[in-house]
Amino acid sequence: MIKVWILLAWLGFSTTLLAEPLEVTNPWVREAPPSANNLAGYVELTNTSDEAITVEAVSSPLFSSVELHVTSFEDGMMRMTELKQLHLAPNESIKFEPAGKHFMLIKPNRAITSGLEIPIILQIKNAAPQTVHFKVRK
Amino acid sequence: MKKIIPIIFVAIGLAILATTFIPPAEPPEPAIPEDLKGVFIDSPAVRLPDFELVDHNNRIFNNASLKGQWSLVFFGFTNCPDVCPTSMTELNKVSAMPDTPEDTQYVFISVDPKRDSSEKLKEFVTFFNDKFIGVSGQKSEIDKFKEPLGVIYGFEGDTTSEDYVVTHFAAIYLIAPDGKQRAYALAPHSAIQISRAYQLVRKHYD
Repeated sequence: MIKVWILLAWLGFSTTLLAEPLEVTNPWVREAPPSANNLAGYVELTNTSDEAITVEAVSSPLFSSVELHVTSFEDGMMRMTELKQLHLAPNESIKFEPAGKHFMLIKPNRAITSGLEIPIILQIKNAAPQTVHFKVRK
Repeated sequence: MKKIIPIIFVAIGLAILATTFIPPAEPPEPAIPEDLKGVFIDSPAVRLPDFELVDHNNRIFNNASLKGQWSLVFFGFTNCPDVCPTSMTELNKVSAMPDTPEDTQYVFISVDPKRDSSEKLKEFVTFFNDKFIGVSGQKSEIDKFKEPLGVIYGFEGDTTSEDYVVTHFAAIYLIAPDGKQRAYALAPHSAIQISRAYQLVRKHYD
């Protein structure tokens, strides 16, 4: 009986370790003209854990750099501002969507074509990095 | 009596002059439904000064290019990753809507001529739609065009490098077949918003 409990405890522990801290919904990158230097990625991230999560940096092996940006409109004037960090309180969702927050993918090192899956690595404070695959589409 | 006759002639002359040269009063502007956000009518219509730009096939694009059909005009830059591709995608949806009049011209004007060569513009606009027209040219000519429309733009970062960012007034302008601006829609854009605004304005003024 004790062995069963140990097994159950171990299973519970290992699934906690395996579970990604952020739930990811609909990650996609807008397909751009072949010579585009900058592309934008969108996704909804949800913190399903009981603790706050801070995304400290983002990167992708397919781009020279990745930044988190927010587009804002002031009386019709469009401006992009970099978000240095992303904080998600427990149960908080943050939606990256066109003309709002986006992952700015800078200088691709290969052709980015429709259907390609772009790995983007989220560096999370005090936790293992999480890789999200963004699908390229129109 | 001899004095009255010339006065009558002068009065008739003045009346003819008045009807010939004084433009008729502007028709009342169309009412914008409350749920149609970010759409504004220009009444009276905004006249554009003479300008000369170049399209993505290196042909001259000037005031005459805007005459004879309605145009939807958007200002941006091709290195723009989020807002410009979003607005262009929405404009493409507008062009595909069954109730959008076919005789409509879609024009993307780059405010970043330094990086946006005609090849780059061609690749960008035709990526969204083969019929879209990319336009740019000398800064002084872009500024002539954008000034009366109230477009503001600026550059952030090192403009001697390739990595600067353009902040810009992201609106879609409706230009009537007489070459004057009739309305504009602020970003963020949706195809439904643009389509409704376009049809409302076009039906009213056509």
